[in-house]
Amino acid sequence: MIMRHSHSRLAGQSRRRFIESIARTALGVSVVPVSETLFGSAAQAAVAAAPGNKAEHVIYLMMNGAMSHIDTFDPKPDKEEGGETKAIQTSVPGLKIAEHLPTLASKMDQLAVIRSMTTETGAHEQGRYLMRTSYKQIGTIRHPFLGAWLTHFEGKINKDLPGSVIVGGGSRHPRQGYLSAQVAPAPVGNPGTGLQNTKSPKYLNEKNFEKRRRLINQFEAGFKKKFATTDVKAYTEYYTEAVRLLKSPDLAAFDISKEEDSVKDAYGRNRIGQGCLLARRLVEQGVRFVEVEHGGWDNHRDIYDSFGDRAGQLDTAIGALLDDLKQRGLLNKTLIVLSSEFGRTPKINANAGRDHHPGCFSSMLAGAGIKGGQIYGQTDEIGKSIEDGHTYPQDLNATIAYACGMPLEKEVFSPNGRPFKVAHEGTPLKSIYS
Amino acid sequence: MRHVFASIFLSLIVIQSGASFGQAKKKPPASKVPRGSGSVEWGPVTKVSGERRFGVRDSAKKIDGLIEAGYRKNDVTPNPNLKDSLFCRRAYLEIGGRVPLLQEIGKFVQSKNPRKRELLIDELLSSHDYVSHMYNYWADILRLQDHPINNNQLAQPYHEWIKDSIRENRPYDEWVHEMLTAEGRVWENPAVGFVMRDSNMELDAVDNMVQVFLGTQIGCAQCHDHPFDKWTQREYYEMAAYWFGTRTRANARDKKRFTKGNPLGRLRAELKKMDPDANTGGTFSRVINANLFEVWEQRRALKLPHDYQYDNGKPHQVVSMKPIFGDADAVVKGKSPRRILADWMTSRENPRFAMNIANRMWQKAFGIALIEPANDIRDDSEAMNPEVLDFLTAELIRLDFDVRELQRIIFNTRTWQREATAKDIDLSTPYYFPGPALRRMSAEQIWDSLITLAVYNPKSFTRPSMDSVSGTIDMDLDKVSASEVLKIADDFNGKFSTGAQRKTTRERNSYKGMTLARASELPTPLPPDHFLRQFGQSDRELMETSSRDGSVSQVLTMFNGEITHMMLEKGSVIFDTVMRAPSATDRINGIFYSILCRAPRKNEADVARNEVKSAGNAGYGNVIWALINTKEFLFIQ
Repeated sequence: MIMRHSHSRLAGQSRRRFIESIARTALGVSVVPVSETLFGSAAQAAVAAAPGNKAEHVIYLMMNGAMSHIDTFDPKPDKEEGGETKAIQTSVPGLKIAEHLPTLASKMDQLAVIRSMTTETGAHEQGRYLMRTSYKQIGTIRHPFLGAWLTHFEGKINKDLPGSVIVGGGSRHPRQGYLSAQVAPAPVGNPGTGLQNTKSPKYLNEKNFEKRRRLINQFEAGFKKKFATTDVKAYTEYYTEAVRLLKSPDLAAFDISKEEDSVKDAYGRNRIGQGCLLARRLVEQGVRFVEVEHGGWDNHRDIYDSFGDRAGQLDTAIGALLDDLKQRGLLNKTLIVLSSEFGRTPKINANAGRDHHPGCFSSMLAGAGIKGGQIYGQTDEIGKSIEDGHTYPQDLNATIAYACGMPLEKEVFSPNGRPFKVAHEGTPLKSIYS
Repeated sequence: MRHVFASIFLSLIVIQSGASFGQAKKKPPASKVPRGSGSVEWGPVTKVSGERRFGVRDSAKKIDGLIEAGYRKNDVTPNPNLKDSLFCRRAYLEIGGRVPLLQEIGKFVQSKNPRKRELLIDELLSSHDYVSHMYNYWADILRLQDHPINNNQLAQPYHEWIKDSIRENRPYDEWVHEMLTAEGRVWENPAVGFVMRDSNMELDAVDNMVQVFLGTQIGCAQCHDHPFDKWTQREYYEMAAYWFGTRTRANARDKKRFTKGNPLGRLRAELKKMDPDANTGGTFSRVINANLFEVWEQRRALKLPHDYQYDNGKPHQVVSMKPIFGDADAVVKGKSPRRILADWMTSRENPRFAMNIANRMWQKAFGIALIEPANDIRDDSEAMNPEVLDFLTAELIRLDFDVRELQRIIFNTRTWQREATAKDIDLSTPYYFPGPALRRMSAEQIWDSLITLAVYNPKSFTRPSMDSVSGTIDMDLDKVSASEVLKIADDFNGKFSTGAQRKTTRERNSYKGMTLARASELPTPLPPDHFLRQFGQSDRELMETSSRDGSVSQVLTMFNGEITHMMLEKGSVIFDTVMRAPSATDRINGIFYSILCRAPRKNEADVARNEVKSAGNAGYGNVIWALINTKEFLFIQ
């Protein structure tokens, strides 16, 4: 629908990738030299098909609590089940979404909406776990979330910063699962406060800090000499890295106070708005994967009391994010994904709310390589079941992984010897890419 | 050196006795560091027996003999014996889970009693510190979470019961048996928390309990024959058949029990009738749901899965009950399958039950188990020193599963009291225990040590107890009315909800938003950005997933985190203790002993003195900060 990459696609970097891709598919070999990725296995695995425009970054917006699909991307205004929500015309003729998302409606030509998401569970934790890892939550292993996979396979872009960041994550996030702590996401509780413990107390100036570091070295010289084990040496490494991070100018990526007030306003002065702003700053400095959580969607009662406000914040935030990324030339290499653990029932319950509905829900993608202005899949007339295009969490993850060029078929073994794949058995929806 | 000791500890003792600068009369300086009130009753810890001391010595000697035979056979040079001060540090950390206070080190180091190590071990094993430390150990293994399945489920009474069981030193076999067979609601019978943890996951539950209590992994066989071990899928199902009838929720549709219909539906409808706008969700439904969680048993046959692929059975075929090895009693009327499984599991005849916990206790003390990995014992697993493992196992049975007494024996060995091994230990070859492995402290040991150095009387910072929750929340689901439930919900919200607990704790003992209680008294799981999580406490989703690996965020937390800086403030234990000492030398010695349990070496003392000379009192702060940030602090040598 939009031909924005028609000529530039084969320029420079992309051309090389294109040729490599031909070599791979046609000859079954890789012309990529085994590069300096952190992991040997990852280096060998970096042989994968990706769409023409590979995503280098992902911003994943997780709608905690299960966002109603009927009141956002899949409105049913003519039915009782549609509730109070009206549908509005989008920038793409014939396509409508809910009135609560006016900005997104005006940018529909940049978005791909999946209306046929479906999952196996109506329990929040389990649903989110499946969404994030492509695997069912079981009692005996912890699977990595997609951001850790991305760092594992593709390495860091900015060596000073963490490979992935979770903004507002809860205590049960699967994080790096069984993968190495080196690909662990850095948690940021509140977008406004940035990365924990990177600000020195006021009295501690640069000179004083240096002096303290010298003291550490002097006091532990004896211990380090006596116990020169791998564990002890690893800690020395972490000290070095920590100091490098603290001194890195890129650390400012975590500090949204550096943004103009007008920018903060544009994103919206709320958690999701500021979270998206933080995500943009991080991506700009080379963080691979940023997950931003936005809660409050578990509307079992009085759904319309607050829904408009909540969805409105989301609408403003994504709108600003799209514009900002585009303006900075980042949109074509950043994939934006919005999802939720499941949907909500078409039937409005006795408390004027909607209950859990794993049967169908909606997700949205935009940015890197996405063909905008399309709806994938279809639900029935009341948004209860899927009529076309069943898409499981694994498939959504495969779609993201495919966009990033991750090897979908590569088996990675957990410490107890079980084989796992980045998106389990998921199949990418290649048709949503241009 | 002796002189240095005497001087710092002497000046300290003077201060402790209150004979110092008449400060008691002055108003204490305002401090942001909270102080414990000291009024919380933790209940008595059962003391270790003085009379058994001789038996402990003999057993410890026996173990040393077996280990030393291993040195000779394999040409191993043992590590040197640990010096008193470092022994003191290790004992406090590995038995009590925290570093010793300056006066505690002083008391130990200055004691002339030749039996002082033995006495310190006994004292620590009889302390609340031990209870807290062992609780953390089990919390990691048993995956203790405040609300394991969903927010409706309460588990804190179970956690308190575990602490009580450790405090009372209950025999291990009895303790496990009780957890496996408990029935009822968690506030009536807290031991049901164990079964509740795997609510509605009967198959996973069996995998987990076999791993915890037998150190054996059968998990793979849940879906297919085990690829590396001998277990078949059929064997897994036969074992799981014992557990399959164990239910964790009342059947709300049971018409005999709930004569007026499903209580949740009935009460919601009743509430709506009273007030059409009332919220039938939230705490109203939470307290009802909490009452629906109960452990009971049902006759229920387990069938092979629909995709069963082996010749020894057909899909959907009912499997009979059979333990994975050995024999169990037959299922008879009046004795439930679960009880038979528990009898089999905890039997003295079960070759892996005592051996597993003996192996784990050795691992806990030395950092390396006699059979590694300790949670994957197989028929052909060979212990690094089989005689030692056999002896420990026999001792545990002789001691009627008194696990603490077994630990006492281990701590009294010369082997445990050697220096940590100063090089990498490669587990592809046997380790003959020339001494314990060098280990980083666990997350809880670091946190509790910092708390010890920071706040007075941290034990008074307990979590509000749930002891009285049953009086609030318990209801007869068939009789209770909606208005009564509303009252219960209000009451519960005010006293026991997460919010109410947080409020109490915050008011009592927080510093810049951090609750300064021991790790064992904090909510679980903690959020990922909490100090404890940064240092490797697990999210308590999977068994034994805590970690002692380093990370950049740990270093940042130590550099800039609140707790490090609290240490440098007036009103913190270390600051007050050190600043009360009269001379710079004493103060510097005091800092080194408080943090590393040793005197500074000459060059270190010079560096520290120069620092103080150039920076004044702030220099002490810099020395404290730097020492806390050394690896020597983080590791147990």
